[in-house]
Amino acid sequence: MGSNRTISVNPDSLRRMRPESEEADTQMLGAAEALRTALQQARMACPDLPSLDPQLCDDVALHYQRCRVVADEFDLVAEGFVSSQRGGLPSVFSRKLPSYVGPWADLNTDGNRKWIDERLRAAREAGDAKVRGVATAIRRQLGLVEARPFTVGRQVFQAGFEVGAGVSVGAEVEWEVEELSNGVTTLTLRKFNSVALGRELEASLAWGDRRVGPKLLAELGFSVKGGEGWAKTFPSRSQAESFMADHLAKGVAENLHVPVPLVGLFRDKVADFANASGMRDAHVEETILGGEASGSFKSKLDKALAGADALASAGLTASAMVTEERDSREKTETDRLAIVGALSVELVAGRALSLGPNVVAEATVTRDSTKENKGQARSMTLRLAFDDKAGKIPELLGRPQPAAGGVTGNDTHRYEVQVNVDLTDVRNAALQNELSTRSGLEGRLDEDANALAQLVNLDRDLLARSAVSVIEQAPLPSDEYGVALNAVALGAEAGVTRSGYRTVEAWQKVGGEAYRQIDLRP
Amino acid sequence: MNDWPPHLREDVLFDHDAAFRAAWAIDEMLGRLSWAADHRRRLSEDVLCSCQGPFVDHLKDEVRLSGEEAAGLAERLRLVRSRIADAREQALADEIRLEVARSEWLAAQRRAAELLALVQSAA
Repeated sequence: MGSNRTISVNPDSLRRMRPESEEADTQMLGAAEALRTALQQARMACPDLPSLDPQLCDDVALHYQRCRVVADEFDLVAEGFVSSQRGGLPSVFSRKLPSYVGPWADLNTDGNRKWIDERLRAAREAGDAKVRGVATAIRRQLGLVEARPFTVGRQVFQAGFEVGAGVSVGAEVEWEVEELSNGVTTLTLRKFNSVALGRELEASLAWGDRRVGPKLLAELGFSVKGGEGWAKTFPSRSQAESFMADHLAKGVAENLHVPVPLVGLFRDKVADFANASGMRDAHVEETILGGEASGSFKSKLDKALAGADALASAGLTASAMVTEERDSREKTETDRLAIVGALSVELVAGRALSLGPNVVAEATVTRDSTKENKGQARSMTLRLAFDDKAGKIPELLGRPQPAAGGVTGNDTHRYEVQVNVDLTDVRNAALQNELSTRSGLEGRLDEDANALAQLVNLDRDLLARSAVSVIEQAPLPSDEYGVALNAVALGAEAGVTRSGYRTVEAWQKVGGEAYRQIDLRP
Repeated sequence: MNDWPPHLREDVLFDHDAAFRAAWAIDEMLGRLSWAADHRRRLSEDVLCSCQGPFVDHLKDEVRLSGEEAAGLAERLRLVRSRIADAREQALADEIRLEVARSEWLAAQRRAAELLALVQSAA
């Protein structure tokens, strides 16, 4: 279909499509209310009165809501028209939008509900921000709740190596497959380089030739990690895995061309690496920077104390990671600020005991990257993840524990609580202003830290307006293969791991409603 | 208060005030619906006349569908108004019939009383 480049439209005319001014709206809805009351009184006075279309007033109100959506659409066109005029390309009317969403459907029938659901889903999956804006407006104005897609499965394949003595350098490649509840699967490739400093300390008390008490070993470490990432979305997990299997081999082969395998990961030609791995056309690019500090303390116990040769250890690891995602399709920049803390206690004496949480606190803020609205915050996601025994969901949701037969046990499961805050909702305007900034990543970190602080003291009203997902994940079988070499003063390690989680239970609430359990697809 | 016989005791149940207000609200809504639909149609014809493309087609569809729904609602409003008018006319007719029957009953009572008085005076 051809485009017409001689458009002579006054944007103000488009905005006049809103005939239902606030006053007219009030009068119309007032008349509908008067009709409703009068009909009720008439029926009370005369029960034999013939049926007077009891749905009529509700349908008139719904009609007016839809009219306002149409007016909003014309407003959006006016905005697009103004911006395209500024850019010298008056083509807003000729854009092809196969997934364009309109409000007109009789929601009272299943067929039409399916129709509007399909259009809304298409709009969500389309990359066009304007279409998504229309979809959001429709949902809000028609009072439809939107279930947020949540993670139903995640698998990570890592390959890396580290070489050094005291100070070591390493490189790592990571493929992550994340499947969402709506079937969309994101495949992310990341490439890291790291520098780590580690020290081992040993302490013991001796009396003459005899050691008194256990020997204490301490390991302290600090590492800095940086890298790049690329992400693509696929309509299904099988397609993502097929793509990964195909390009994983090519990526490895690319690195094997270097005399020493895997050392190719150090090479600075990031673009070449992305191309070889099939990520040339990835619409999401990431820059990752993080640091980790760890400390572990071991005590070698005497046979006399433990009855066997035993080693007790306690470890504490804390890391902070900042990721900047640039999405060329959505025209957004997303900052992810994550703090990970892990505490473990182990006693190896024939049996191993491991205790301690593995907690991740994460705040993600997505901002507009277009020239017009640069830095305007669109959404905020807060995530808290931790390990605990299976079957803790009722406790987390404040519900009574299920009778015997529920999923409980000693297996360790992963729990995630995620809060999605829509910052384009006018009720969240104050928070949107707080998180909006036109600064670069360094300047945005203050605002991102404010977002993370929301996790500690989340406003009750804000929570009621947001989508909250609580999921329980069971670990998938994992594999780990590694090799370590230690020469006189130089050590080297290389390894490949595969790990992942599968969601076994999911609950969600949207807009202050009660939690409802989500059916998981087989 | 007369002591009506059982078949004349019940008044006709109809709230004329509620019916009047309902009819007024319907007239008001019909006018506003029609004006708004007409405004959308004329404005979209004006602003979209020189444009073409799928997006424009969608917008035109939206306006057309809004007009169709407004017309459907107007039809339903008119139907309710006509049912209310029928019920009001029926109620008025019933009231008139009741009043006539009551007057006839009163007249019959009066004639019977006069006849009784005449008989007593003759006796």
